[in-house]
Amino acid sequence: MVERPFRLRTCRSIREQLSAFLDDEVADADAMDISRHVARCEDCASELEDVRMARDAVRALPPLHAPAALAQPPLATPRRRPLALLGAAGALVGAAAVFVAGGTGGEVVPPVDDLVVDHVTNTGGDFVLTPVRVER
Amino acid sequence: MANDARPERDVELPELDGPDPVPTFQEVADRYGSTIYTIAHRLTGNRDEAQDLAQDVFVRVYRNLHRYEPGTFEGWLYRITKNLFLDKVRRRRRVRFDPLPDDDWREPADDGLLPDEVVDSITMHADVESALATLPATFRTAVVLCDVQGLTYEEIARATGWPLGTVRSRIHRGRRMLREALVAMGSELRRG
Repeated sequence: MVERPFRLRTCRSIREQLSAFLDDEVADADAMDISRHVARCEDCASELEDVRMARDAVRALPPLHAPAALAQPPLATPRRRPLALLGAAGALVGAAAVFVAGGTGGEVVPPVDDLVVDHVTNTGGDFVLTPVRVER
Repeated sequence: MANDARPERDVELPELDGPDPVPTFQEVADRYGSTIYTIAHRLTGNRDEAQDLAQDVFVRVYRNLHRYEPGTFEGWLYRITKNLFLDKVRRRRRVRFDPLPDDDWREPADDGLLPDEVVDSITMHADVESALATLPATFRTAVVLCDVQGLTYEEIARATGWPLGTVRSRIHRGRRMLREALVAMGSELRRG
């Protein structure tokens, strides 16, 4: 192998290529220049080590699992169905009537289940908000 | 040193039946869901933001599947992800970047580490996530596509539309900023 004549390059021009050098993204001739330079230059060698550690730290981050909701095809145009609206409205009116009438001696139970089913039906179940506690 | 292997990509689009197959939404979600979610999380630094971004990516994919051309799919996905991420940053000016809480979104640490090593590893990951979140969006995008997803500079240039020199510069400056952020946080990066 023929040794290329040593080419004097500034630290600045070397440092601009250090990450590409680490990633094997420079031409062979440049890689040789950079190798020789960092062997002689402590500052550039230190910067090479710094970017290598930063790169390795990101590479060590674990892969993540996608939430199950991402596997659901989005609804083209989510619209409320009139029938579902009527059902929900009816349930609300019924509950209100029982409440206004003072009840029949029994406990007033809001139609939560109906409303949840209605919501999930119309939104495809995506991104149901998590209830939060409200401090009073 | 210069020949370190890139991170392995966790998905490849398998061969599908037929001469010109267009993947269904379900196939795309199954094969790329975790990949896009991981990239989205590393870009946003936040589980909720990542879920929103990944969902937006898949909505865009779903609406444009008819444009699918064999051989270009991955690049197209990365381009959509990068565009939507930078759009969100521009639109909101400021995205909330919170470190991920240690919950069930992580892979189980079953790689034979001792308990104190597991704690060190989790702490280190949280530091790196926080440091990543301090990078300007374009630098973060370059670093994530290179070091999380393992794309070559040429692939990043194609996915982002940035010139190759810009990709090279943003990766290097991004790593330097990351290193400085970690040092400022007092995080212990191990040499060697």
